[in-house]
Amino acid sequence: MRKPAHALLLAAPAKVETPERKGFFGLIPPARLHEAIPQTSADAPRAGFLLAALAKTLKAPGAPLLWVREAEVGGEGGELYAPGFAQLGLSLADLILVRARKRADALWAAEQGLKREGALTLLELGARGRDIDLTATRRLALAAESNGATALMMRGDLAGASAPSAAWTRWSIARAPARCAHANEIGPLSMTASLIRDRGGAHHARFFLEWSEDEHALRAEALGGDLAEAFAGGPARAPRLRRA
Amino acid sequence: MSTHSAQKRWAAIWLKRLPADRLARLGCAAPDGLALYVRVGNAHVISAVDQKAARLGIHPGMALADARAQRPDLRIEEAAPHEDARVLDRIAAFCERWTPSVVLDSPDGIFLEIAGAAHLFGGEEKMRALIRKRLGEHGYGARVGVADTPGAAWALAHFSNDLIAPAGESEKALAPLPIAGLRLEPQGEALLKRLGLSTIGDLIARPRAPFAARVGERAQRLLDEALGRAEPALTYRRPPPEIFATRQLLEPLMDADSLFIAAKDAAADIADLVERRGLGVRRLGLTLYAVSGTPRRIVIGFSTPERAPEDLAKPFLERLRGGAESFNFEFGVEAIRLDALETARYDADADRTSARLVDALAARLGADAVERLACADRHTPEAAEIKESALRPPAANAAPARAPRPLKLFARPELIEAIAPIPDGAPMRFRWRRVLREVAHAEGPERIAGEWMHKEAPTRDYFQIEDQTGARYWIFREGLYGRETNAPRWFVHGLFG
Repeated sequence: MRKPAHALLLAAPAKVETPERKGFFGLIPPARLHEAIPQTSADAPRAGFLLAALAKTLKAPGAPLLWVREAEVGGEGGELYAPGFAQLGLSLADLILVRARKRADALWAAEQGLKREGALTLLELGARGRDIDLTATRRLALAAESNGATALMMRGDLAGASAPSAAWTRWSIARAPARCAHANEIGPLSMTASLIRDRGGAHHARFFLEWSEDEHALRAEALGGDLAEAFAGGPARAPRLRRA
Repeated sequence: MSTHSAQKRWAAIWLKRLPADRLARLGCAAPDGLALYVRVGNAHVISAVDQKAARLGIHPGMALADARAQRPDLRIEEAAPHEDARVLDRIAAFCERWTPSVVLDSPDGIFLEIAGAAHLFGGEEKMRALIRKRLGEHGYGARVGVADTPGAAWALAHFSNDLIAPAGESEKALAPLPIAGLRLEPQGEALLKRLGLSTIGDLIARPRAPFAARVGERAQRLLDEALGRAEPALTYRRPPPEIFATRQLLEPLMDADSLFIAAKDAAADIADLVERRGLGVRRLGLTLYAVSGTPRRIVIGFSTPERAPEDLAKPFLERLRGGAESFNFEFGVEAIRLDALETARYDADADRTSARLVDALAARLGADAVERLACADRHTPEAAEIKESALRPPAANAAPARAPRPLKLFARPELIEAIAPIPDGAPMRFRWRRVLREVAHAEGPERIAGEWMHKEAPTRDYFQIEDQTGARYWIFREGLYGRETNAPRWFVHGLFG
């Protein structure tokens, strides 16, 4: 579809993109490897939830969603539950769930999932196990970029926040109390996401994220800093998938 | 490649000196020969000898004391029929590299059905020679007869100088052989001898009815089986698959990539065979026969039936590469066999994108490690989802419950200590995994009664709970207060995120 000329003018990058201007979803482009790290061990389930919520926007319709979990993760935080997954608005028909006993198997499986354009791989790793080195993340990042598939990886070990990585972005995820809960109404599931690394150029940014059950979508709001306030509450748009 | 026509050809392997060969392999050879004995009542009787001892005049049936007196340097060992049986089975397993149709014929024989296999070796004579050579390399002397029936092949192996009877010529080949070639019980054999019948030919010439009356149905049956007039009852060591393909490798292969090429070549045969039947393969087994050592088998599954040779062979590459060290083929692999273990209707139009991903994952990680999920139309939370190996056809998916369900569910609800201000209400605080959690918000209850078939299951009241840190739990109280129980227990069943 051809865009009208004025749209092209508007879309031209006039100034340096700030993370706030890009918005939360703009910072997580498809066809890349992204990392989420729970801020504390108690935040691991929320980080896992975020990966699933992002699947909504990062996966091409009908493409496979490969969810690779280390066996340890299921014991600690529960096994993936089909009705809960379906309630996120995701298709169970696209889901392939892998339970990996060894970390090497988990990484290998994740790479298999990245072999098709538009596919999405979620990799949920536990707190124990061999460190994920630069080579391992480089393999995933390369597979994602060359095939046009997206990889989201949760590192369960908190030390992973400072580990070297080839990921495009790295986020620190913390659960947050719902802001608008009433009597006998629990309010939307909420969290904060702090950008701690970004190959796209931005350095730091923080977002408040809420899951809207009615819209089956994440709402993102930039936090902190004067600039951020200007964008607070602004609409978050899901990125379009790149087509090769 | 199997042709499985009605015409069968059988090779009978007679391991003439199995017990002695077994001991010789263990280093029990002796300059004056080796003999094994069994206890018969109070006497010790020679049961088996090796070739040296046989040449020196020691023979089975001789009293042990006599043998010792004749040959003081003879090495004597007690017979171990269990060990012999074990070795026979291992040799039979070894023979499966040539054909999947292998029948154990205790105590010292093996039958192979070779109609579809012989051409791979350049004919029956060459195959016969190869079997003898390969068994000989492992220290087992063998006589091998080939004929239309196991019985005829057995008789040739034991009593004939011409070891192959061409198709349809069993009767001619058996005629000059002694009646012992029929494998009659000793009494039956003695009776026939007293009647002046010494060769199988003498029996064939006799009128049927009187013969049957005198010697009994058993002898008649054995004769009919040997001549192909009746089907013998055979139990295969492993039921042979209907569709299989073998490859004998010109020289032993050790590396995964060469083995993969051989597997792909064999897969082309499988592809032809299933295509002719309108089928695809759901489960495929690759057996690797090492020059020495036990065969290794790799089984892979296909979530959507496949039949293109590349697709059939592809999942093996990863397994061969991954398993190469653990297989530890000292001298390489000399033969491979592919078995179509399970077939199903082939659908050319099926979308195979995610099926192939599933197959690749399952081939390396195991069928149980790769799953698909579906919602089931059931109230009990545990029953409301179906988790199955992704290799199975997908289950029908129902709509999920309308009430909120957690993304993660614990395999077993975890017992917690909860304090609830009112008996039917949500808890105020609770202790889970040793940490006390203050409830900030709660939504519920959602009442889920036990399903009618499990009447004894108490009613559950589910709550969505957020604690003061923002963590979200799916909690339930088990049992209706005052009606089902006076001390309801609380559980965490899942986490929302």
